[in-house]
Amino acid sequence: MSETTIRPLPNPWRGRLQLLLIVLALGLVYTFVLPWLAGTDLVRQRNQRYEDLGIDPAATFYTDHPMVDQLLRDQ
Amino acid sequence: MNATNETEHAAVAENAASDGQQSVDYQKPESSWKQMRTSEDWFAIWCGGFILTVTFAAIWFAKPADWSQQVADAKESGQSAKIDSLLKPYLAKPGKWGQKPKDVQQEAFQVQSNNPIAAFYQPASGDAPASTPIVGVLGAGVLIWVLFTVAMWLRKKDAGGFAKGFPVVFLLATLAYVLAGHAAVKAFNLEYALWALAIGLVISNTVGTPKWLRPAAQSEFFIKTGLVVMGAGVLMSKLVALGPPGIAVAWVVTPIVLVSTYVFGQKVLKMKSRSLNMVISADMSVCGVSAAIATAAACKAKKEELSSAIGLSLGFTVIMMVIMPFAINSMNLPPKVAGAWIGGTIDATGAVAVAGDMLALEPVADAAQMGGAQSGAVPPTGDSGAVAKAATDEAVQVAVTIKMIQNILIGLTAFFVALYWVRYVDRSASADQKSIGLSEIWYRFPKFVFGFVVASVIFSLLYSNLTGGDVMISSMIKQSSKVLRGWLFCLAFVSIGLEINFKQLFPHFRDGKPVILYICGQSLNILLTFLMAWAVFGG
Repeated sequence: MSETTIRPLPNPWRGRLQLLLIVLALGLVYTFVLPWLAGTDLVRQRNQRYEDLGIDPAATFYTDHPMVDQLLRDQ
Repeated sequence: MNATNETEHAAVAENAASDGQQSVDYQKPESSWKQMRTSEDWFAIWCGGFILTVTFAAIWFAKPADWSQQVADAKESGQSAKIDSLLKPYLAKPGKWGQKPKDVQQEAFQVQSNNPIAAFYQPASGDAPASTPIVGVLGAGVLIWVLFTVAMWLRKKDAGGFAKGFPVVFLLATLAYVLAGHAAVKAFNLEYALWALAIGLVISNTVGTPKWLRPAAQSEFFIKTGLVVMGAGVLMSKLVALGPPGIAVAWVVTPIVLVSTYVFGQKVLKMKSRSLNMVISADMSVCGVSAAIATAAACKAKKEELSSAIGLSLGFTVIMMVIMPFAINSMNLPPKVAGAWIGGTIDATGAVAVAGDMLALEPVADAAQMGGAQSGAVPPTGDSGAVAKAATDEAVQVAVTIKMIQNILIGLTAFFVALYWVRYVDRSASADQKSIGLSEIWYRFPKFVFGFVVASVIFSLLYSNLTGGDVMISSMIKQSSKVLRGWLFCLAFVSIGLEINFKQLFPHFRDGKPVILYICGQSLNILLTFLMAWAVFGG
C-alpha cells in the first residue's frame, strides 16, 4: 500500500471535546446498552450455541473457528 | 539494474505522479541484495520467518519422547493426540467478556463479567481452571516490540521513535480487542479490525496523531509480516476437505466472480481507482477482511482504499447474514446446498458460521440422503427436532468448510493479483508502454507475497509429512502463530486509522460506484454459487 499524507493537528480544544464526547458515548453504550443486549435470551442462547458448536462469530480466518479441527477429523 | 530499467522506472514514477491514481513510487532501482537488507517487503519475510521458526520450534521441542506412539494410539482409538506449544502461556489476546455466567457456580462472577477487566480474567469452566491472559498479552507485545525495533534498526529507519511509540499503539490495539471482545459485540460479528480502525480514526480526527507516535504506526510493515505468518495457516491438504464438490464451489466460482467484478468495475463503471476496484472485488468474492488485506498489499492499494473496502464488506456482511438464511429457509434447500451457498457468498469467515446456524431447515429425509448420516450428523431416531438440528449443523459444517477452502485461495489470489499488477497495471502507467522483462517484474513484485506462498508450502508439507504433523501444526497455529498474526493485523488497523482522516475516505463513496460494484458483484456471486452448489451437492 502507498503512503498517505498525515494531516496536521486540528484545533486542540475542539478536538479534545470531540474525543471526550466519543469516549462518553462509547462508555454509555458499553455500560448500559451492551450489558442489556448480552442479557437478552436471544444473545445468551446464540452465544451458548456458538460456544457449543465451536464457532467464533468474529473469525477473520478459518483457523479462528475452534470447530475446524473436529470438522476435518470427521470428514 | 541496467540503464534501460532506470529510464523505465523514471518514466513510471513521473507518470504515476501526474496520474494521481496509482501509488507507484519508484525510485532509482536497488540491487536485490540491497533490497533484502533494507526493504520493507524483505523484512516482512525475515520477521514473519523468524516468528514461524520460533513458533514451530516451540511445538517441536514440546513433543514428548513417545510422540509417535501417542499418535498411533490416538489414531487407533479414533481420537486425536494432544500437544501444547511451549509458547502457549506467553502468547494471548484479551478474552471474551460481558457474558452472563453459564451456571450458578459462576454467579459470583456475574457482576465482574460486565466490567472490561473481565477480558483479562477467565473464570474456571468445567475442567479448565481460572486463567488470565495478561502474561500472554504482554508476551505478544514484548515479542513484536523487540522484533520490529531490531528490524527498524537494521533497515536504518527510526528505531528509537518506533520503540518509543509502540507501547501506545499496542495499548490502543489491546483496547480494540477488549471492545471487540464483548459478548454482544462478538455475537453480531463486529470484528476487531473495525474497532482498531475506529480507534485510530477517532484519535487522528479529533486530537490528531502526535508526531512522536507516527514512527510506530507501521501499518504496511505489520500487514505484510502478518500475511507471511498467516501463510502457515494456508494448508493445501485442507483443500480436499469436501472433495471435488467443495473445490468446484470455492475454486471455480470464486475466480470467475473476482475477474468478472473487476472487469465490470473497469469497463462498465469506469472506477477511478483500479486498486480500490480490485480490493472490493477480492474481499467480496473471496473471504472478506483477510482477502482485502492480502489483495490491498499485493496491488499497493492506498490505506483509505483498504479501509473503505473493509467498511463496505462488513456492512454488507451484516445484511447478507440476515437475508441469506431467510431466503434459504423459504426455499427449503437441502443442508449441503444451503451450507455451500452461504459459505460461498457471505464474505466474513465468522459470519458464514453464524448465518449457517440461523438456518431452520426442514427435517426432510434429505439430510440422510445428502451424506449426513455418513458423517454422523443425523441422529438415527425419528425425532424431527433432532433431525432438523442435525440438518442445520450439517449446513454449518459445509458452510465453514467451503469458506475454509476459499481462505486457502488467498495465497493464490495475492500472487496473481501482484503478478497482474506489475505486468499490466504498473506497465500501463509507463510512458513508452514497452513490455517489461523478467528482471523488471522481479524488481516490482511485492516480495512478501513469496514469503506468504513459501510459508504455505513449507507448512503444508510439514502438516502432511511429519508424524502427527496435523496435530503439531494445528496446535502451533492455534496457540501461537494465529495469536501473533491477529496482533499484527490489529496493530496495522490501528496504525491505518492513525494515518488517515475521514476526508480521505469520503471521496471513494461520493459517486456511489463502490457500492454499485459490490452489489452487482455479489449478485453474480449469489447466482453462480447457487447454480454450482445445486449442481454438485443437489443431485
